[in-house]
Amino acid sequence: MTLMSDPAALITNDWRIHGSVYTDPEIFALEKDRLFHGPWLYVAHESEVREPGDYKTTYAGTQPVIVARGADDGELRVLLNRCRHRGSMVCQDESGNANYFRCPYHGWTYRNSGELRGITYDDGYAGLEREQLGLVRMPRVQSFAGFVFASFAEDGPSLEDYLGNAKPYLEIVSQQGPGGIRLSAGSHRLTYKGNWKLQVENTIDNYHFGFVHRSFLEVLADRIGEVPPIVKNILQNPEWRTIDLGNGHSVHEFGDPHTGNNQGQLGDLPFNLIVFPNLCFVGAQLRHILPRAADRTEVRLYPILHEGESDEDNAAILRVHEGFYGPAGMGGVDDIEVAFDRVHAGMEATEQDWLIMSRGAHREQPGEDGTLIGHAADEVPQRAFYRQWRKLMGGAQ
Amino acid sequence: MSATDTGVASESAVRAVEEFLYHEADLLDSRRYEEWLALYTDDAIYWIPQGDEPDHVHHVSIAYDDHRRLHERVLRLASGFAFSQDPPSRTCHVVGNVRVAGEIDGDLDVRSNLVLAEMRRGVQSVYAGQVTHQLVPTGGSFMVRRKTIRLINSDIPLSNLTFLI
Repeated sequence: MTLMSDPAALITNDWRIHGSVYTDPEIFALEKDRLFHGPWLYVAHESEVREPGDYKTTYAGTQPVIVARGADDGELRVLLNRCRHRGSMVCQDESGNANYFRCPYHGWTYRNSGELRGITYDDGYAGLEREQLGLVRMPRVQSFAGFVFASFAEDGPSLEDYLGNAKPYLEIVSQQGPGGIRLSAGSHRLTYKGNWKLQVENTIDNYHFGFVHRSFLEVLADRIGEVPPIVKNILQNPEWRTIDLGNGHSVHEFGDPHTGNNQGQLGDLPFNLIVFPNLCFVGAQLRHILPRAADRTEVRLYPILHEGESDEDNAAILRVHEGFYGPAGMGGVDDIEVAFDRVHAGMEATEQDWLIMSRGAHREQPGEDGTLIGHAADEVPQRAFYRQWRKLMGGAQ
Repeated sequence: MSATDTGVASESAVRAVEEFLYHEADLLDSRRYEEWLALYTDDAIYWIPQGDEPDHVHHVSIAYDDHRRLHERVLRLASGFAFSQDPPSRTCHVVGNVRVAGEIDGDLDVRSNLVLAEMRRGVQSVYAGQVTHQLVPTGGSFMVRRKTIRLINSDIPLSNLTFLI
């Protein structure tokens, strides 16, 4: 299509977004190259890889990786999970502790730092440079407040510069428990047939709550014996606000980010946060969005447990989380149904192939450090995301 | 329950348990959820663990519902606004391999296998797993004090388990 030569033209200055942004495999291929190959990508929380030799498998954007803490030096590395010989994944387990990864295909063996240690029957090769054939390492790995990010770019902004105004919020998340946090409860895994950005956009979208989650509001009313205050707060509480934090990041605050809460029994984080492009915090969870294809997405929801609190209190966090989120949750699956599956189905109608993302654009107010502040139910977070998307995908502003 | 010295329940006891499990499956398949919930004791737990992890305290579950949460699910499904069940899932529970494994504090420890076909929005899915019921004898029938559903696919990415199993 002609628009492909300039992906920035898929977003108009009056905030119409072209449907192909969500549906076109060529756009997805460009995103793999421009969104998921350059900037910092979340891969793990340090609590998942505490001890030397600990590892977890996940995705850095769209590429399968092993996040491994060196058995010898304790250093965190992010290794592509692909044998250099014939491409098989060298590590299958979700997590574990290992000094070596051995490819099951032909027995090539790697240290958990990535170096190729052994080639089986190596007299069959003449002149292979074994020191060049370690598992591919992502060139930069850095942590902030316990959250581990990696980048495919050798150079570029530091992680702290990249996170920018999102940093104080990540620090608050990291201090939820008296001794910090840990992601030791596993994760809910969801999948849907639709584009990954639909899940990002839905993570901070107070506009939808009273509609998509009407059944959950009825549950809450039954639970607390009165009309739950969520929708009233969304529409009227000036302390509930959306903020474009810059660099594609955004937040929705339920009042003071240190003490606020959503009063809705969705989890106790005092805000919803999006860290561009695919890391979110909502309810009591870290949400890692994994784009698998233009029309296929996997989402992992990691409940955030509190270090220094009792098993009983942490189990209560899990129960609240399960009440709304996960494959049997009374809220999140309604999002999958309405905001992802039905959007994907509806967008097969392409005569007027534009979405409207301008809600509240006329009343965004400048805040400190280049931020933009809007009403709770305005599409400030969506525009924050697409400003960065447009910048990285190239073309004119 | 009458059991022989080998721990095997009598044929009539197993038949009564089977009838009860079939009745529960029928209520679920016909979405008579309030009648279904009436089978559960006030201290009931309905648990769908995720993966092989047997620990609901330290590990997230797909569901670990007390009676209050089950009541909320039934209320939600009847609200007319539970979009993930609009249209509702059509289900067909097939319960088999039923045996009475023993007793727990006077309740029956019942094991069965479940194969569950589900059809929704043109997609047919199959779920299967091992189910345990802790059944309270109530003079002629039973109530459920605990139901644990260990789905064989509980740790893969799933989309919609908002119907009751």
